[in-house]
Amino acid sequence: MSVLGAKDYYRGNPGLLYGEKFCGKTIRDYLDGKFEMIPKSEEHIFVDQDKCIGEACAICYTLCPGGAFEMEKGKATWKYGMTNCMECGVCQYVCTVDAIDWAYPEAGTGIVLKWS
Amino acid sequence: MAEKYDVVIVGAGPSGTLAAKHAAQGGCKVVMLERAAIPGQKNMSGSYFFKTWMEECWPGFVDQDFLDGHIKLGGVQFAWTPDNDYKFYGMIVQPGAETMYEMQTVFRNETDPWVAEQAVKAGAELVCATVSDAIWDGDRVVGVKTDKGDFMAPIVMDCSGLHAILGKRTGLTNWGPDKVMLGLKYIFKGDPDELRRLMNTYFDDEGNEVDYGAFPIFAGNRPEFWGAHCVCEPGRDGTINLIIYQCLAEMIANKTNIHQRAQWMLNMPPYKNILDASDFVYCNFHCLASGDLVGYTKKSYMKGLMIMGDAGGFAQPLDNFGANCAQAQGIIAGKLAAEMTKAKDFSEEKFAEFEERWKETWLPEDNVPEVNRVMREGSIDVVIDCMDEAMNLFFQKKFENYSYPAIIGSMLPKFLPVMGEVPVIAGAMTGILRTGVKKATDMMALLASDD
Repeated sequence: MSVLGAKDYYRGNPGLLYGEKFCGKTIRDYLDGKFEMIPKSEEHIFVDQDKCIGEACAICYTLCPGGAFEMEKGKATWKYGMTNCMECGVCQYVCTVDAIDWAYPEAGTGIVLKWS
Repeated sequence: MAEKYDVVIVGAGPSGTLAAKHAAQGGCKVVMLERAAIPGQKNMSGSYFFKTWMEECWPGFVDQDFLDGHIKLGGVQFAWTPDNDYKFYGMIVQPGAETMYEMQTVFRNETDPWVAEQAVKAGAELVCATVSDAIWDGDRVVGVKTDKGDFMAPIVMDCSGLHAILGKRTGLTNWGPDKVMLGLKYIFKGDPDELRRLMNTYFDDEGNEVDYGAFPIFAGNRPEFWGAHCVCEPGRDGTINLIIYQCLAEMIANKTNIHQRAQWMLNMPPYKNILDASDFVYCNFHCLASGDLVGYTKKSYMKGLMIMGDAGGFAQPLDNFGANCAQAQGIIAGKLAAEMTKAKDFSEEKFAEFEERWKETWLPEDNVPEVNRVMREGSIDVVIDCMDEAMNLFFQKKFENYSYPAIIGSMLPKFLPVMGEVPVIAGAMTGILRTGVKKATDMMALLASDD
């Protein structure tokens, strides 16, 4: 995580600015112990496996700030959502094929924001 | 069996609690349906509320313990990065703590439970429930479905935040990734004395700790559209909020995650020292209604429903302050609901009055088109780019020992593109000033008309 030098302009080179990819497991490891989750009894976000186009898109997996999604067998799934969903609501807006069925969890459960 | 009320309110946040209070005080049987176990646990703001306004809305606010130790602002720094990386151009604004007095830092998980409690004391009910859908009678909303059963009322209010649970179901709102920003807060705990040293705080005559904006508010250049801020609270156990917000559309276009921008911020010179010396302890996420992106919903009502606050996209274009808009609309909605209930008038015309009444406040003017153009179509970028090129030229010529007249002569053409943007930016500034003045009077007038 070093500061980039004078030669590394962002424009036309977003990869240079951002350095390493930071999603999925990287996030789950980074945020381990850094949030409180009131246990949920039911899943509340679903990726339609028939509609999902997988690696051709992978936007939900790439953008999810909690690392709740994972790419498995060529499709996105909400694999870690019960432990890592931040209920930010982003995934409902970004799916390119309308494969995400989004809802908040059961009342009184899920993520707890603090010092926010 | 469905629960029956005069008013059902989705969300016990800034607008929902005020709508509940005023409806209850007007004689309504009201319920707030809040999905968090404790109000505030699912809420996040940009860290600041306006102190006097909060006291007017919720008498006793300024005396609460949860305000102790929070920092007062004496000034702010703004930094614009033309290359979204290491270059900054900005300004320092230091009007002094007395002028900045209104800016009160808060933690929502502390303020919201107390606020909701006041709404309950005013006569409203608070139920922990997640709303999933509207209940219809023809083309009229007559209640809501929740995981705790159905709640019926002739007046339903969507106060559920940007994701607008009912707005979405009724078609009143329809945000896309180009209209939504994601906010992230990394919470650090630092040594309070070290923080004080780095922030150079002082204590005023009343014992309030004052910060002159030690850490700049950053904003990034097109097409990135991101912002960052660092709020440090030595008096609150050295709590540090590192805040990043970024538009979804740009994250999609670049295939990046918001953590990548946040990680880059950890190394920014103004922030690096303090963050390296602190412990990363918590992480929060919440989407925000970015005023110049999302824009107000075209229609804020339908038969049986009023939609307000972030749910209706009512955030200010430049600074994205949403709480005040939400609160003003909550007060309007609550009072109107009381009138409608007394008169048993739930006609579409009465619901339309919600829109008419908020349109009489500063809110329509706050949707300043010039500000939208400045922010979205890159007028600021043109100015900063010109300044950047001019500054590069200045240093180059200076080191080559050109005279000042020669240097300035060569720099002037660099500013030509700015000429076209000056009227736009002037328009935006005038618009902001105009609405700012109207807003201050309108906010107070809303509460002055209390019985």
